[in-house]
Amino acid sequence: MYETNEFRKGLKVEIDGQPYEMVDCQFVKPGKGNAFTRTRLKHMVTGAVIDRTYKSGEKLDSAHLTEHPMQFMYEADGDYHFMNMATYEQVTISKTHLEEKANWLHENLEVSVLFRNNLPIAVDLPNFVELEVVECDPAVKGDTKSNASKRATLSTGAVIQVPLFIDSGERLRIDTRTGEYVERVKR
Amino acid sequence: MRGAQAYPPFRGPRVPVAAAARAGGPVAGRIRSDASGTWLSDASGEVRLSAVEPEDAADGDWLSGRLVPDGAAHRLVAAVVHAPRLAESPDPGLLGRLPALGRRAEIVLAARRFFHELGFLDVETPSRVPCPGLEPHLAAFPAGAGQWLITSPELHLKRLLAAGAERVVEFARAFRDDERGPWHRPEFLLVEWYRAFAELDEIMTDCEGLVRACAAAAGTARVRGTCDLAAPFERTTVRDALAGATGLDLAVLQDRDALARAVARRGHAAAADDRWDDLFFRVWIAEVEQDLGRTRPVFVADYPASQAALARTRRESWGEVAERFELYVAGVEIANAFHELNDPVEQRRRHEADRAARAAAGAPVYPLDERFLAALVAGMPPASGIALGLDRLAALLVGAESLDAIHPFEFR
Repeated sequence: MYETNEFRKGLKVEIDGQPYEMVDCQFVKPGKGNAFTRTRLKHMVTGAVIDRTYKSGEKLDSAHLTEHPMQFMYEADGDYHFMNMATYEQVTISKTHLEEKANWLHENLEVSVLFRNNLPIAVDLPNFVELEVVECDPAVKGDTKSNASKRATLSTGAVIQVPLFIDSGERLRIDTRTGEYVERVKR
Repeated sequence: MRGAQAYPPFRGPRVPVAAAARAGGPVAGRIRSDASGTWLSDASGEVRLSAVEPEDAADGDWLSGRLVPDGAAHRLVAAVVHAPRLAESPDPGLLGRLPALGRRAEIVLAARRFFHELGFLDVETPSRVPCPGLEPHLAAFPAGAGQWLITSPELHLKRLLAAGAERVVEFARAFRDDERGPWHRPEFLLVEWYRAFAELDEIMTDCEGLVRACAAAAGTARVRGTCDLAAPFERTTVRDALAGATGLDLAVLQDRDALARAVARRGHAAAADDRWDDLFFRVWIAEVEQDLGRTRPVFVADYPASQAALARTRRESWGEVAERFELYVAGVEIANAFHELNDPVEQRRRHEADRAARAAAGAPVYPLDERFLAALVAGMPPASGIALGLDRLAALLVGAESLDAIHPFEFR
């Protein structure tokens, strides 16, 4: 059970017998009344989005899911293939379900695959992944601390903003929750 | 010279650096680049640089050395270069927020000037008090020895009215526990003002003037892309706003069960222990509030009497309303005004009811503010007053989507 003060983006909850992921949540307080939390929830299978408002102190059940550690293997025709390294069981999840999470999947990445009624419906990524830059404008020499940024394409095809001193071929640490560059990884 | 501009642009007029430094004396400062060129910024002012030695000194570096005249500019010959390691700073995002902090400062200054020009008495009342406000949904921070931090300066400002001040304003930091979100910080700046002998209309006029003065200081006339601050502010009532957005008429929903059925029909979950106000807010928050003031700011007046707090109430043909309004700008509530209750008997009754509600909810029950009540007995003139969240207004005016974006530090 999650109480309103534990609500946050990414929370997986059960509503009317269906699994939802919280994609937005905001504290709202009327001038002269109880506090509420306004949420936007996305059905984890159909993708349908609903808005719900909860009074402070109300609770939501956690989504009824089972979780298995698996490794990402490869992508083919928009299907992403994962393997359970203990049982060698393989499952696929379509890009439609993974959405922006597909941006951070690299070969052999350990993820948690979430199952409902034995069907894989989503993955939980590690908070940070390391990915290689395959394309970006040349580095500006010596500039190690400014806030200015440029675009870089990563090995997964994702495009992110990076500092000017980054060069093609470098490995970067990315925060998968925000999709933002964190730091350069020394080899 | 590396060219990336890490530092926010200069604000205000440039002041030349001291003559001694320009004449070749020792100088220490930071190199900053912007569209107008490269500058050295020291304790006394700024000087344009034609070149820097060594060449690999970067924007943001600190140096000490000498200035060598070079045409209209100066060449900086640095003996010591220090490159600050911003990535290791405990406040890595702070530098990027400096421009927003500067704009907030301009807005606050414009607001102070606005009240000064209207002849308001600008005061500071105590922040640490034995009797914080009793409103059941506000939580005060304990401040030791039976004292609390104020949730608003309301009670002290009304004592000023009773003592004879007729136009009084305070820029106060208010403290409210358990309030955290993009538009809530547990401590925030509000501007609260009162006019003796005034109706709510006069406070609305103040609001329009204040918002426009602040907008001019921020150099904008539009908020969130859609809300035009130059247009006359709209006026509506809670009953009309609710009917407009949902078709529900408060006149026939005065009964809790009737409202509960209407809320359920509109697809909102409700709890068995929801009071009438909770049910009302479930619809209001989900379907009405976010659209208020979308194209221009709107005053929403005549709240249900159960939400009167310290406002007078009035009987309309269809029900009782509180003489209160809130101001919404682009879906964000920024102010709450009362036609002030000044009847000491009714005020004491409401305070006792609030204390009972706090006790029933398991919240701390603060003592009655007998000095405030004595001021009403002595005679607080009829008055209207308002608290406006200056931090919220400033955030909207600078295009920020959170209060944190216009403050240097997070609240921990």
